[in-house]
Parts: sequence; C-alpha cells; structure tokens
Amino acid sequence: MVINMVKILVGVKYSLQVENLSIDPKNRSILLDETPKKMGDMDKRALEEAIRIKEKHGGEVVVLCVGPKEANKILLEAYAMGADEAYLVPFEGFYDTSFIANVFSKFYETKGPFDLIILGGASTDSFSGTLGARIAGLLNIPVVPFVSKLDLENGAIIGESALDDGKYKYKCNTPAVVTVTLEINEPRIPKLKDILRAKRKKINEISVSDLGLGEISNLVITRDVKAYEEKRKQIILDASEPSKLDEVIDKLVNYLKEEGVL
Amino acid sequence: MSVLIYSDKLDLYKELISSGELIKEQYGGDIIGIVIGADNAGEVDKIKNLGLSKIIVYNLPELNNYNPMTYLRAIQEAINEFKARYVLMNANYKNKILGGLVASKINAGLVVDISKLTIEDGKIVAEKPVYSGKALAKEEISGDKAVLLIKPGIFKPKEEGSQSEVIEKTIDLSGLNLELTEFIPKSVEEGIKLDEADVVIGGGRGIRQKEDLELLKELANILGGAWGVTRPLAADYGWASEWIGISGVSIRPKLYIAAGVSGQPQHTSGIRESKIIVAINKDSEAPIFKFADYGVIGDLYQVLPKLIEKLKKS
Repeated sequence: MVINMVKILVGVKYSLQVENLSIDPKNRSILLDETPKKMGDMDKRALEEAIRIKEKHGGEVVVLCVGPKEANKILLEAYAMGADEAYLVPFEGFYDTSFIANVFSKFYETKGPFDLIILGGASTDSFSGTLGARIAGLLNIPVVPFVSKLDLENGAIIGESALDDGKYKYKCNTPAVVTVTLEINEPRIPKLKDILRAKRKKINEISVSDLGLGEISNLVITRDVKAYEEKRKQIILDASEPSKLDEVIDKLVNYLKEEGVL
Repeated sequence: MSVLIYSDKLDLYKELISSGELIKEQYGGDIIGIVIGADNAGEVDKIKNLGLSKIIVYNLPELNNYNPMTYLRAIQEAINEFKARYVLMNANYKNKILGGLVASKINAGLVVDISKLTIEDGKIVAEKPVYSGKALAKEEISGDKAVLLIKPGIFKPKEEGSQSEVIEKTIDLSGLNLELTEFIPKSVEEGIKLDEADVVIGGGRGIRQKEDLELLKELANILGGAWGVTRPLAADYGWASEWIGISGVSIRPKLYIAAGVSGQPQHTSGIRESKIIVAINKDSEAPIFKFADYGVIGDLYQVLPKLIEKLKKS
C-alpha cells in the first residue's frame, strides 16, 4: 500500500524566547508578559516535516495551538509556511502537560482521525519532552520519539530516534505520534507573498468546552518559577596580550589546584 | 499500595531506592524494583541486597533494547499487579517517553529532570530546571499518583538492606504496533563517558577545523577526562556524534573547561552542575564568562597548548 493523502496534525507552542527571558530583579521571578515569544524551535521543524510529507505524498496539514489569543501570530506563520488549517484553543493561565494532551486527543477525535501527529520533541521553554508520549498513551497509538530522520514507506512510518545510549530505528503503521528533534530538517523561511497571503487566512477557534473537556484539574501544579542566580566566581584573567600568557596559565593552574580539581 | 522503581542502568537503583524511601515514609507501601531486558536481568544480583521488597524481572527477547511500547506493557503490568501509585525512574530521554506513556495510562502527574524532591505539607514537591536551564520551577503533585524522573546524583545511594525476592515474569507483547528494527549503540571514542567524567574539556565554534579537536583530546587525556563539543560542531558540522547541552548530554564533572564556547543557553544549561567551570574565549563579551568561575580572555589556539605544556611538566 502506498500512503497518499496523509492527514497530519501538528502541535505548536507559543513559547517563551528563553534567550530574552525577562527577570524581575527584586525577587528573580520570571516576567512572562514581558518576555517575547515565538513558535517553538522543534515545533517549527515538526511543521516543516509535515509540509514536506504533504508535498511528497499529498494530504493535509492541520496545526493546533493551545494558548493566548496573541498566539495567532505563530498560526499565521504556520499558514505562511504552508499549513492548510490552523486552530487555536484559547487558554490562559496555568496548565500541565496532561491537560494539553487531553486537548490534543479530543481534537484528534473531533477533527480527525489523523494519520500522523507530529510534535516538537520538547518545547523551547519548559523542555519536558513528554507531551507526545502522553497523547499516544491517551489515543492508544504508538509514539516514535525524538526523531531525526523520518520516512514513509509502503504505508509504514520509519523513524530514527537519537536516544541516550544510541540510535534506534523504529517502524510502525499509522496512526502514530512522531516527535522530532532540531536535527530533522532546516525549516523554510516563508516568502513575502506567502506571508501576505497567510494574513487573509482564517484562524479557527475551538474552545476547551467545544472539545467536550469540562473542568480538568491539573495533575501537576507549578508553585513558582525563579531564575537561577549565577553564583560563579567570574574571576577573569586577561591573556589577550600574548606576553601575559605564561603568567595567566600559571595563575589559572594555581587557582584550579586550590579548588582541588587538578 | 506500592512504589515502583525502574532504571535502565542497574547502578542507579541505589539512588532511586533512597528516593522511594522518601515517598514510602509519607504514603507507606512497598518499594518494588522493576528490571527489564537481558543485560540487566543477568546482573540483577547487584541490587539484591538493598532492601527492595521484591524485584520483578521482565526478560524477553523483545525487551532487550528499548521500545517504549513494549516497556510500557511491562511497567503497566507491574502497576496493576502491585497497585502502584508512584513510579520512580532515572531522568533520561528514554524514560521521558516511557514515563509519559505510563503517566497517561494511569492518569498520574509527571515531573521530569527532577533536581530536588521533598515532601511539603503531605504533598510531593519536585524542583526541575526550565527555560533552558535559566530558571528553577517548583512543581507540586496534586493527585495521589505520580511518575517522577529523577536526575542522577540527587539522592544518596542506598548501600545495603535486606535481601529481595527476585521474581521472573513473562508478559504478552502481542498487538503492539511499534517495531524496533535496528539499534546502533553509541560509540565512546576515548572510553570515558561525558556524563560520568570528572573532567570534561569542551570545544565550541572557536575551533576552526575538525583536526583541531586533537587539542581537546590531548588535554582531556592528560587530566584523565572526556572531551566534547557544543551542538553546532556535532549536529551541523558532524565532528562528533553527541554534544554537551540540554538537548544533548548534561555533564556534572568536577572541572569543565570550555574552549571557544560562546555560552548559548542550550549549552550552559547542560553544564550547570559542573563544580568548577573555566572558560577560554578571545571575545571578552562572550556570555560564557558569566557562567565561569575562571575566565581566560585569549585565543584558545595559544591558551590550550600553553596549558597542556604546563600540565605536562607538573
């Protein structure tokens, strides 16, 4: 059987730009509103991979985001890259991964079924890397995790997973969840005409209650998040003048001996 | 009620048992060890005298290498049989997936990458790094079930205890739609693993060509440590099979020397647990200096040979 017309669901997160994290100097809490956000790095690769599959095999790419209204921004970006349909589940406030997994599995049942769910291996901000597994568990379908190379062959999904102790090659039939790493592809940069065209596309909204999810209590509650204080000594030795090099190396070696690490 | 403990590395059971005892102190129950696959089953004696109430061994050919769906079956089977409410595992990528599957099957709260675990007001509270290692989140388990993935080195290993009963079990693995077709184990060039090394020498984009990695290797050799690179050198240039950083290998040596590393959050979050960090960079503005105990402003091509020469003499 040759797969054609693959229907793919892609999850994208409106993630904090961790390199521009805004921190309250008084209590080291994170100023979420003031921190710029973007589509997660791995999520973008998930979307790129889905679009490439569509381009090769035909089909449809549906993008889903759970987040605040401003997350529309990354859904427009998804349209510009080549997504067919984009959905926002408007939600503010705290939620845990099990809640998001429930949203995805209900969406799958409502708007699906899909042949593939492709997600980033981990979000750019919280970096837990567990959402794909939770969704697969709820839907009773396999998960091919942290994939750096994905192929569809004769109706089967073949994914290469780079895990802790080596490279694993997995094979399964659709439907399945695939989570991808940064190494899988280099996402396209949309052309201006695609960006302009995307602006005319409609972002569908679907609420948590539309999905048949009532009150879901979080299984994990975040009590607080505090920026680390960098407590390193930051003793700087300047060897930019080559004449200082011998002296600097002597000093460094002495410091390291005093620390007991040499 | 019971607390299940699972690790892919037998050496880590000692630490996980200590974490299990914390949970047991609060909620009662038995601590049961789960061992999966032939390699670990063959060495199960290593963990037989640590006070586990039982050790359940799943040793089937399909379980010899990691497959999240077959491993899920094994853990689920044990959860059902022993009415487990808590599952504790070592934190790594494989267990993130296995833990996610298990948690969704039993509707449990899940926290990964735990760097501190305590009980506060009768609740399990876990700390984990977030935002690319720039911040620490305190998470509370609100329900009565949890899957907790704990980083190595957090709990003191339990060194002795009563003898455990070892029970071999077989499970039905039919009807699983995920096949492992190939496994290529990571090759360790110098024999010392990055995540276990006492000294790590890391190289970043300041290294101009692959051949120059010899500088890192030579220094690592002298200090009896491991060498590694940042993500671009491995993932983009293909100079190494793995990299140091949150999306690669997290290290916790006594001494980390970063040469020509700029200090992207992706990298610095994977070196946070190093005792002493030395940064060598010719750009005095490089962010890595904020993460360093000792910073050397200078060209790594001058600094490293000089350091090697000095250490060889002493």
